[in-house]
Amino acid sequence: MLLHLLREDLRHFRWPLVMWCAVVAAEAVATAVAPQTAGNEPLYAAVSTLGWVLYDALLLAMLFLVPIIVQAHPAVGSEAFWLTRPVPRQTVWLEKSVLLGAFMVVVPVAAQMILMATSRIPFAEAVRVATETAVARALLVAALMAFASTTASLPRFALALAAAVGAFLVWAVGSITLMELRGPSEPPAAVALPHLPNTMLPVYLELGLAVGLVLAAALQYLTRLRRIAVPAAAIAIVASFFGVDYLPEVRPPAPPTWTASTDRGRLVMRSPQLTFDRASAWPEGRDAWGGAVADIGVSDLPGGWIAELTLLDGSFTRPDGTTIEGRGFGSSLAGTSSMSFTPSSLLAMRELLGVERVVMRLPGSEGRVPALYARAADLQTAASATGRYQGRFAVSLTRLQVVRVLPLRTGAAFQDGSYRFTIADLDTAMGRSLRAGVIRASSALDSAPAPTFEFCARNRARSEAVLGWLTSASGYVPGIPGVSFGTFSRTGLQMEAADVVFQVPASEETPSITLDAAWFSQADLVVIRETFDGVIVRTLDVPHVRLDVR
Amino acid sequence: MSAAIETTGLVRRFGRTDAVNGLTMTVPEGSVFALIGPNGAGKTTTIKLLMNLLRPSGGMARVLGADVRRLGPAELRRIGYVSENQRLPDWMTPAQLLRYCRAFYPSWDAALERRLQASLGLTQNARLRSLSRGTRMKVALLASLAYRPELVVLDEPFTGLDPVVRDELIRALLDASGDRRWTVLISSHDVDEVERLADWIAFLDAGRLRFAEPTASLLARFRRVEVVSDDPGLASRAAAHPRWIVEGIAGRTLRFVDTAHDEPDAARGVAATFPGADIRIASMPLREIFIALAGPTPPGVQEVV
Repeated sequence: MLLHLLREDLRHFRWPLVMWCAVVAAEAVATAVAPQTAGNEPLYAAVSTLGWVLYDALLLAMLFLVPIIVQAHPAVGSEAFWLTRPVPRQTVWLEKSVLLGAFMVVVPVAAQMILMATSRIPFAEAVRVATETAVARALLVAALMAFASTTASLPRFALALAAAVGAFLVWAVGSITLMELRGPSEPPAAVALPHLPNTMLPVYLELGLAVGLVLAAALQYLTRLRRIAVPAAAIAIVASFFGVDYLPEVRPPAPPTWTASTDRGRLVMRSPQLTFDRASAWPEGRDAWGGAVADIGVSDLPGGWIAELTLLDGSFTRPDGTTIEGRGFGSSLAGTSSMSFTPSSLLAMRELLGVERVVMRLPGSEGRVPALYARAADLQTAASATGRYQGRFAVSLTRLQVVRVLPLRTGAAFQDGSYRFTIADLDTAMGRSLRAGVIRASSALDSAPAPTFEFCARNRARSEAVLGWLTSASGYVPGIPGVSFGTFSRTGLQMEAADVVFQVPASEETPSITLDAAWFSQADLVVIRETFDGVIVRTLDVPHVRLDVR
Repeated sequence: MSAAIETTGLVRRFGRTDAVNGLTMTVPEGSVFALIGPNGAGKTTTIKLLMNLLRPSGGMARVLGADVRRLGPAELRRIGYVSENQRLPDWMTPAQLLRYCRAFYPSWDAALERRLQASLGLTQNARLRSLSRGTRMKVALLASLAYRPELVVLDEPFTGLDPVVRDELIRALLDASGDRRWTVLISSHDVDEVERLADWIAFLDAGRLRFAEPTASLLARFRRVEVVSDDPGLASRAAAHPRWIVEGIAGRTLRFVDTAHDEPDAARGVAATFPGADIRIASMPLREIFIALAGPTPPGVQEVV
């Protein structure tokens, strides 16, 4: 029966489905070709634009295809032919789910798998990326299927969908407006424990919603009663949002073994001073909170490691025994961050690259980290006081490794796991940038955050290196806002052109290096992998610290 | 006599309207049972309730022994259903529709299919959406008879069809049944065709069943009576009779319908009511009975039920 229904639907919708597959294939080809054309600016713009247009066309096609396929055997009303035939309702629901799943989920995911295979992405990573894509697509199909199964025609489907989107927008705008009207009553939430953002959470949520919505569609087919199916869908949505918190989350990778020694990675307050800037207090009024900063560093890190500090809690005790109790401060640990280079990381880079002078795009301001986050009134009361400072910090560790040294010429390429980089063009006239084809695949299902890569132009003869700035070359993306789901995700498969720009900032702190064609002719390209390698907790206890208020 | 369909106090409400109101009815197995009644009487709603296309608001109904709320594939394999309101898969050609349906029925009779196809003159190979209404109904009927169902449910199958197509449909239905008597439940406005087909008639009005009885008994029961007399109290005497439906009085002539003329001494009762009058009693075709019942309700008509 299932096969019979499938055959009939396939025959009925053969042309739309053939078109669908053709567009999926065309989109995959455009995606695959895009990084190959990175060296040809107009061609790359045309191919990447075509890819985005096809991607959006596929999403819009889903809005049309899902309802017409579902409503060929409507689950509402009393006039449908199939309702008076001996066709089990659950079989019709299953047939629709299989058909939509095969074409709307499996076909695009298979295309993505082929793309990843041809790009030599490791199979395990490709499976994780494909699984994540499948879950996201399944959610969209399930939502459309739920709407389609509770409406009798395409116009009603469109109306219901528009009403739901409208209701969501009203709710979102209303919530934001209410929050604005009420104003802030609490300081920003503090970090209680070092943790990574739960990358699994959106996947769990998508999966929960998809399963809930498909089951709601099943209920509609079984009962043909919207008064049962619609509340069931609402319950599934609410349950998914609340349920995800109870599911396991990704734990940060175990810190390296050297962290077992408390001599390594010790916290050091270079200057016994806490500085509180009253202007930084927030929110305004009596309940304002503020952070006093201090010059704190991490000592005795092994070579190639850099650290980033996040305050967990801190206190300041005056000689009379009065204590200012602080709380944690800072956002959650987002893993490696190429923006966080500091003088110590400059040192690490020098060691890695084997040069004396390194120019980094952000010279850094190491040491000025929030060390005591407390009520502004308490901090002001203790102005100019000297006391004992105790703090507890999460120290997130990042490992830097040179993974490849490439000649600075077109065609030079390297692949590290699921990251592939090919130099497509060198700006020899200006001598300051290169265009590359970049392919990367990462997934929220990865057990550890994907490494990031830095690119350094290094001139050994002059013992100089300049850290490049990697930016996507896709300046204009003709995506449809709110429809091109997945494009805002940091995970997934990306195949694009990127520019690596080498610049020497005009700053007293940076060495004076003249980047010209002669400099680049002697240079090579050093690829550095940054790997987030865990979080350790370190404490700092300084008996005599002065609290300055400005 | 066992029942193919049985309802007890069946109710279906739409908002505050009772489309079907306490319907208690039995369709005998092997009968051709016609549901007639004016527009909005509840015929289509009743049939949808019996086919589990609508859920009853109250009461009980059984079709082929199964509670209609649980009517599933096993029962639907034994039921053929054709309705003027049905949304056929109009992207299919007749041949495709038959192929589509064939897979659902182990009892599909290919020989009967061919015979019906020939008798209905179904040779078109265009999509259903481009076929005439009559041809679509023929295809629907063929797709509902070829597996030899035990119960055939026809909801207004003749509406909007020309007499030739109606005749073809009826002949196909009779031809398909062959020696074996199927139970047929048919709702129709077309009382002439119903009279040809049905051996049981049920009359629905405003969701209520006025009567259900064998056609022969119904035709025997109803008589048109014309009374010609100088008596000025003709109308009032007729109106006082609980089983008579007064149709009107013109000059010296009173016309009414006797709804119980099959009772013993009915003719004598008429004569006794109008002594000395000139009385003509004529049998009534179903069409006239329908019009008499479906017209403005005269006093005492509820007694007819």
